[in-house]
Amino acid sequence: MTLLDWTFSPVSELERMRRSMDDLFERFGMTPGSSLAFPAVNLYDKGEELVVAVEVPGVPKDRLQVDLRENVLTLSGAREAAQYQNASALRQETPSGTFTKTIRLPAKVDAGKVEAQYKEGILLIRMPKSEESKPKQIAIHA
Amino acid sequence: MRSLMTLPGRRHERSGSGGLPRLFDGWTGRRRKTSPPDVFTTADRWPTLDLSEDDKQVVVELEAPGLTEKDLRLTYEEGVLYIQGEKKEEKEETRKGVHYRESRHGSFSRSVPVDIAVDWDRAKAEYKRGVLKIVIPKKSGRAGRKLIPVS
Repeated sequence: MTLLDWTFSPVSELERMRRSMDDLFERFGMTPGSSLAFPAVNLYDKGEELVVAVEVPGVPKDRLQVDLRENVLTLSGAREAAQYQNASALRQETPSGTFTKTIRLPAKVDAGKVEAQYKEGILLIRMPKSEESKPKQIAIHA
Repeated sequence: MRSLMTLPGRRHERSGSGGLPRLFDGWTGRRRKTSPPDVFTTADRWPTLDLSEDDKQVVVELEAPGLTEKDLRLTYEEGVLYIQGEKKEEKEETRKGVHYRESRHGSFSRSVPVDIAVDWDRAKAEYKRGVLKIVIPKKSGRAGRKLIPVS
């Protein structure tokens, strides 16, 4: 029987440490280009289009504003604390107030073809890329 | 009982406040004697919930966008409301091209002690605009203080 039946590998240890650091940063929302500020945004690059999913639970459509200028998308609106007559708050974990968040898009989009849809507290914005930003295949000649 | 600190690891292991309800879930604040909020407990208060009452009802609101009713499970036992659920990733979008992702997903579980006489049988829940709203009517005709006879 050997007491040490594992091998210490500095390389895999470092790799493991790096992964846990990445997990930690990911947990707190600190991937490059993103931020912790409300609302949480997921950004997808689908090749032909960019898709942005914005989590805005409880924010009614008419309190939500989306503004696109060149490749900068600005989201603003207001979250209101629930109001009931004569109700008193016993616990409030969800912040309220106005918010603004700016997202720099990784490609130019065609502003005329942007579509936005609101469902179950998530605003989904689809933005087709402009012709110049679309991925192009380079033909290889024999 | 889970350990106090969850190590950053696989996502599905971080499920809400399941292991820590008694530390900070005292809902009127009266019970909260021991726990100054720290980064680990606040980070695990997910999804966030608000609690309010008026003279007729107690209202719990949980912010959890992108779910369906099927992803949620509500139970109660001995004056504690349990909210369990699972927030799935957006399937179609995740197949390729994630640029970045700030939203959180995975399973969660939150508990809310309701130390007021409420009528659980008439509790109603509704999921709308990404918010789960649970209304629990208070017991009508307050029982008031009762006398225990001493013999």
